[in-house]
Amino acid sequence: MVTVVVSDGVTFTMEQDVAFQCGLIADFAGGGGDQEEPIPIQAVNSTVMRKVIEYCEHHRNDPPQPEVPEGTPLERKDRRGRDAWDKQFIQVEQELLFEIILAANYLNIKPLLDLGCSQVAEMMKGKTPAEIQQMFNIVNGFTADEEAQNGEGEEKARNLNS
Amino acid sequence: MADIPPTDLPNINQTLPVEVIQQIFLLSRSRDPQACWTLAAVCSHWRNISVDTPRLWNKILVSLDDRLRTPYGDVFFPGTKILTISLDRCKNVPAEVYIIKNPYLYLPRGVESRRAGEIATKLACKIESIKTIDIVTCFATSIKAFIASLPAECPILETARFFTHSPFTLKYRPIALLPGDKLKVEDFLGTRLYETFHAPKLKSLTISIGAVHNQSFHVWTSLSSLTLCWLSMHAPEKTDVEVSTVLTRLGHLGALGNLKYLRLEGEPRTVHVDDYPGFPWIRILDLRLEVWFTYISLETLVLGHLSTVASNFFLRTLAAPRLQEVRLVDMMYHSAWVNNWKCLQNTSNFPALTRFSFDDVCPHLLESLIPHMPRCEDLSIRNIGMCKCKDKPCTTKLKSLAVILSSRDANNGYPCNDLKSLTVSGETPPEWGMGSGCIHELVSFRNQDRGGWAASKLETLVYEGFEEVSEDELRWFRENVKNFTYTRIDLSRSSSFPPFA
Repeated sequence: MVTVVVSDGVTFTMEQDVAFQCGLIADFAGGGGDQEEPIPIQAVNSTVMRKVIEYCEHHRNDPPQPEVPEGTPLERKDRRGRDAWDKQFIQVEQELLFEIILAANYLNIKPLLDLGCSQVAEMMKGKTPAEIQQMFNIVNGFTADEEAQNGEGEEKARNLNS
Repeated sequence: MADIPPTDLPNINQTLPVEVIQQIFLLSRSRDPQACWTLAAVCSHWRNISVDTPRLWNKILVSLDDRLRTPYGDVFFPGTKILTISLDRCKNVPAEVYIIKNPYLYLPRGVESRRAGEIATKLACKIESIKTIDIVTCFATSIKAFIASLPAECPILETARFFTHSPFTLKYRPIALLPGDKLKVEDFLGTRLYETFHAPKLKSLTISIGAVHNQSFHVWTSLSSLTLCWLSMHAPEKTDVEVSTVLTRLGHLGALGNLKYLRLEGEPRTVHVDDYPGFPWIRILDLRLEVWFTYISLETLVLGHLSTVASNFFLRTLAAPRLQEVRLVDMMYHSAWVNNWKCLQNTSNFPALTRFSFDDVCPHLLESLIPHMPRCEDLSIRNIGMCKCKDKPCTTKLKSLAVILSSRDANNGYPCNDLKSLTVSGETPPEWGMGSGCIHELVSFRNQDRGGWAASKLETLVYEGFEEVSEDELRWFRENVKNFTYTRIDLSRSSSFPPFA
């Protein structure tokens, strides 16, 4: 068994095959047996950790994913392992979605990171720049120079919306 | 444009690190190749990230219509500029360039050709990092202009497709040509691919352009890595199509050691020449495909739309030791084909050949060829329908499928006696019996002595048809054939165009 303690002090105990899907925990534990001391996970809170553990438990019996070589078509990379359960799992509030992505990135859980990023990409699909700005609370922030340089597609795309 | 006022939603830029945003961008592009333009227009931060993510820009979609697809709709944006910006931003990442022409927008041939040439000129500046070139035009002259501006050296090019819709394609013609705009001879002219063209890493080559008239059709001199080759010609009658030149050169060079898939096509016979009054040709089906060599790795050969002059094709073939499958697509009957076809019976030249596929061929041709196949283990028959030999209306009554498959060749015995898998789909001639009738008769031969054919090895029968098969019939098939699959074709979802979909 592996025990972790997260940022808000909550302790989670999980079986090794679940815990070791997190690259960070596997590295911390050194691949050895049961860990006596709880592993501190300061960058993740208990709400997000519950979701992470839920994901890892569901995928505990998945065969190891082969390393995707550089240059692999993104379509293929994107499609792998995104089953109905995953789609349902990642349907969460935007704030929690970002936190799951951050946690997956921090804990080094590549499939979960891919899943979270795919969800954000899906949300942006077919949206205009203005709609994306609104959806993600982004301020335009183009400098006057950049505006002047924007004699390109981006400018044309934005002008159409103004 | 005014900034959008902040909301209580989390700000993605303040939450996610750059490397994660980069990954999101790449996944967005996998959903829409044009997404990079939208993402770069969101904010200064995203613009910087996108410009610093070369893989976001390496799949380049250029339109000869000078339009860019955006979430707002199509906007005017010169293709050359899209190409220049994208090639600059993808830095040293190998680029895939797709040049398209919306067939539903009219573009005069002169304009299309000029733009194709300009795009090729831009490509030439960075040819060392181009791994895919894919161009689809409405006019062969545009392909000609495009290739003329390409450099002779394409060091990392892996995939090349030069595709022109046939001017004869009825679905395309009314859109490409305005009323009163006549077809011109140059619409059928092919292009000259330079003899010096050097693409040592080319794996896939597809050419579909007009036939060559009094010009040589010399193709790439270094094709040792080529695994797929698809040549398609639109040929007016008596045009001396120099396809043989292509094959001669490839063969002489001995450079096709890795070729696994070869497809050669002429003009679809569905063309109605009456639609083109004043043209000097009557028939458009003559292609010379006479030279054939030893292809060490060839596994699949597809011949389409060739009916007459390709009569020596197999005769000239020395050997294809790994050839497993021969497919004929859209072929009319011609007596010369039968002798040509018999060459396949030389099992020392084609030892691995056991799969045959006939798609949309004249039933009379099918009836003539099947008895003279080599030993066949896997046979697929699709969309045979009625005889369509317009030049010489066939009056001969067709045999049933069961009788055809039980035919014997004097020297070859019963080629279908080894049949393990049979697929019948699409239209079938009325003489075969409607719906399941033809294969019902076929399977019932299993236990009868009908001229020696027994289909005793038949294990798999796949039947796809338009007609409903009754439960009784289905039960009968399941009892008599080990693996039986029936699929009723949904006509509303049937489409064979475009051919490269």
